[in-house]
Amino acid sequence: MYNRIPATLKITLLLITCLFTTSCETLNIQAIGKQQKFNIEDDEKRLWKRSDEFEEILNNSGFVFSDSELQVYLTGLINNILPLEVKAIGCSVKAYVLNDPSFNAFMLPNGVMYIHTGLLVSLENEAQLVTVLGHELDHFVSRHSLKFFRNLKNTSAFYATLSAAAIAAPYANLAGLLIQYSFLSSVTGYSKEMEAEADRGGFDAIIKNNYDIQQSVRAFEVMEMQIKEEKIKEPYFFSTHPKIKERIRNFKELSASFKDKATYLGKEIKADLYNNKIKDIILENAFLDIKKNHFKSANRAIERFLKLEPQNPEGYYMQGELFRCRGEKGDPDKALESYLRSLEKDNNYALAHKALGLFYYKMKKPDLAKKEFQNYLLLAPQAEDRGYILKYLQELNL
Amino acid sequence: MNKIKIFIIIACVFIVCGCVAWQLVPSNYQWNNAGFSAVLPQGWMKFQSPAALLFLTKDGELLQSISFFREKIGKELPISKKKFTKEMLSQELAETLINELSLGQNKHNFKVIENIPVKLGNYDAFRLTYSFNTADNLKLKTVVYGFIKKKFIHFIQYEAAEQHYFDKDISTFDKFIQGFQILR
Amino acid sequence: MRKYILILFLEAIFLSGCAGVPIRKNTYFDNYFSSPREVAIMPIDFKAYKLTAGGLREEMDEWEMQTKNLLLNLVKQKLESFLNIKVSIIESNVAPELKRFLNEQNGLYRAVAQSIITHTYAPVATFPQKLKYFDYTLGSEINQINSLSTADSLLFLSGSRTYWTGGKIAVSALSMIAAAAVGISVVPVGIPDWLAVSLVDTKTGDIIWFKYYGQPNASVGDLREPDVVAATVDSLLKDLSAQK
Repeated sequence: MYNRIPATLKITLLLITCLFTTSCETLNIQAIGKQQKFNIEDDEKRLWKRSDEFEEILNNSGFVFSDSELQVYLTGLINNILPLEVKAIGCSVKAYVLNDPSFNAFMLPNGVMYIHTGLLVSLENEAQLVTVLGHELDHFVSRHSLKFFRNLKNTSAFYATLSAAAIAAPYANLAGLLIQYSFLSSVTGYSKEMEAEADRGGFDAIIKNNYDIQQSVRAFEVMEMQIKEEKIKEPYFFSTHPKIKERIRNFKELSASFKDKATYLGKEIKADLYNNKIKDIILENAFLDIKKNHFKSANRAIERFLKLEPQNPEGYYMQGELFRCRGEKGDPDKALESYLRSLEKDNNYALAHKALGLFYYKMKKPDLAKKEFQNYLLLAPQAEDRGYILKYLQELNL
Repeated sequence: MNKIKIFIIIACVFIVCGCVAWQLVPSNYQWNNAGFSAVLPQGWMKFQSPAALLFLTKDGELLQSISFFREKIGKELPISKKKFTKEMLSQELAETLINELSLGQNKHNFKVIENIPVKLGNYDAFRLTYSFNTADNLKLKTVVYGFIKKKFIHFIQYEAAEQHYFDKDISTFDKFIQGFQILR
Repeated sequence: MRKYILILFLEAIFLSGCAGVPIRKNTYFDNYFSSPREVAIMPIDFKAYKLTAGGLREEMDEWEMQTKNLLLNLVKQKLESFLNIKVSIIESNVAPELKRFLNEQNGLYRAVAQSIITHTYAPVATFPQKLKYFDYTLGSEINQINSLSTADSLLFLSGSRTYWTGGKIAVSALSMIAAAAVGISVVPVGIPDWLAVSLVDTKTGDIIWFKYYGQPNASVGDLREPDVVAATVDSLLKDLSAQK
C-alpha cells in the first residue's frame, strides 16, 4: 500500500505528521533577575523538586565533605559573585563540597552547587575558582537546565515522529534520554551556545569582583595540564579535553576583547587565603587520587600541602603511601624515606609505624618489622587492622 | 532483526529458562563446581547466574544472598583501575577491595566494620565486613571472604538487609563457610 | 549481578500481569480483625509520570499530589467503613531523626515488596516455599514507630502510573499504522503501571497481607479521577471487608 503513494505525497504527509504530533516547548526563557519578579514555570517547578530530592539523597550519601568552614566560605563566595539583579529579587544559592577527586562542579536548577574536591585542589587561587563558579552560576541564572530539558523534549519528540512516519528509518534509541538531567548536564555539558554564555558569566564575575583576568584562562590551563598528565578519560564536563580546550579559547577571546582592559585595575588573586581554606581537603583528595592511580595529581597535592604544613607528619606519610602504591623503580626507597621523615616530625604517628612495619616485613627484616608493628599497636590498640598485625607478629616470633 | 522480535525471543527464552533458573535446594545437597564444594542450606533457592559460580537466596536477592564468584588476577578493577596480584598479602587484597568498594557511587555511607585475616582450608584469606545504604535508603550489610587460588581471586559473600535479615541468616552463612571445601 | 536482578524484576512486572488472584497473606491474617485494631496509613509512595512523544519520562508532582490525596481520603473512608478498624494517618512532616527512621523502613519495605512481587507473583521466578508459607517481614525493629503511632498495623500503599501524552499516543499509533502497512505488527511496549498495598503488623513487622495490582501496557486507570480511584480502592481493600 505504502509503495503506491507518490514520493512527493509521502514527504508532505511526513511533514504534516511532524507538525501535528510534536508540540514544541518554548526555549525563549528569560534569565533570573531580568524581570522584576521571578515567575517559575510549571516544568521548572518540577525540575526544582527533582533537584531538592537529589540534594537530599546526595547530602545523606556520605559523599558530601563535612567541613562547615569550607562550605560557609564557598557559599559566601558564590553569593558574593551572584549578579546584583538576581540578589535584588531575593535569590540566593548554596554550595556543598563533594569528596571526589574528579574535576567537576555542577549546579542544580534549584540553586545548589556541588563542587568536587578534585576541582578545588587542582586550582591555584580564589580568582581561578571564581571563574569556574561564575561559569556554573550562569547556568543557574540563565536557566539553562530548563532550556536544556525543553530542547531535549522537543528534539526527541521530533525524531520520534520522524522515525514513526518514515518506515525505512529504525526507531530511534531513546534510552539515553531517560538519564537524570542534572547529571547529564554535568557530564556532557550544555550546548555550545549555553557554555559560551556561561563563560561570559564567569568572566563577568572576575571583572565585577576585581580579580586578575589572566587567572580566568589559567584556571582551565591548569586543569588541561592535569587531565593530559593523568590521561583522564572520565566523562565529567570539566574533565573532557575538548570541553576544556573550548573554555581556554573562549576565555582568551573574552580577555582579548575586553574593552576596558586599559583602565581595569583588578589584580586580586588571593592565593594565600585560598590555600588556607582548602588545606584540610588537600591530603584527603590526594588519598582519593592515590586510590584511583592518579599519582601525578596526588604528588602535586602532597607537595603543595607540605609547603603549607612542613611539620605535619601526615603529609610525609601520605607521600610514602603514594610511592608504595605507585611502585615504580626506586619508589620503595622513596617510600621508606617518607615514612621515616613522618616519624621525625612526630614519633607517635601510628600509621607511619605500621607502614614501616609492613615495609620491613616484606623486605624480610624481621627485627625491624617486629619493632614497628609493636609500636603501632601500642599507639593504636583499637586499630581496625589489628588482626593482621598480630598475625605478622606471630609469624615473626616463630 | 526487528527489535520486537528480539524482545519476544528473549521473553520466551526467559520463560523457558526461568522455569529452571531458580531451583529449590533440597536437604543435604552437595554442590560441586570448579574445584570447590559445599553443602547448600536446605530450603534456599539457587539461581543459575552467568555472573557467579553460585548464587543463593531464601527470601529474595534484595533481602539476602550467598554468592561465590571470582575475578582474574591482573585484571584492572573498573573504578580504581588497581589490580589484585599474586604477591599481595591478604591485608593488601582486602585493602584493594575496600578501595574499589568505597569509590562506588552507588554505595552510600560505606563503612568498614571489621577486616581480619582468616584461613580457608590451607589458604590465607581475609574476612571483610562492611555496611552501606543504597540511594533508595535500603541499609545493607556484607561479609566477604577473599582468597587467591591459581589465576583467580575468589570471593564468598553474604549480603543482607541490615534490619532483621542479616542477623537472621548469618549463622546459615557461617555454617556454609565451615563446610566450604577447596578441593583442587 | 544487580543489573541482572533488575531485568528479572522488570520481567516479573511484565509477566505477572498474566498471574491470577493477586492477594498474599500470612497465617494470622484471617483472624486479624476479629478484635478491634488500629491501622495507620503510612505516607503514600506513589509516582506519576508523563511520557512524551520522544520517550522522555517526566515525573509530574501535581498529578502525584492529586492521586495521593484521593487515595488517602478514599482509603481512610473505606477502612473506617469496615468492622473493628480504627484509622489514623502517619504524617511525613516529622523530626529529622524520625524522618530518617521512616526513610529506612520505607527502603526496606520497597525491597520486601519487590521480593514479594518477583517471587510470589511472577510465574518464572516464583519461590514455592514463600508462596506456601508467606512469611515476609520488616522485622520487629519497626515497632520503634510507636513514638509516632500506637497503631497495631501499618498500611503501606505504593505504585506508579505513566500517562502518555497526546503526542506519544499519536506517534505510537503512527508506528503501528505505518508498520501494519508493510506487514509488521507492532505491540506498543510501555512502562508497567502498578499498585501494591500491604498491612504490616507493628509488633512483629510481619507482612500479614499484600495485594499487587498491575499489568503491563494496560492502564490501572486514570488515578487523577476520583471515581477511578474509588473503584481501585474498593478493589484493593475488599479482602479486609471480609473480616467480621
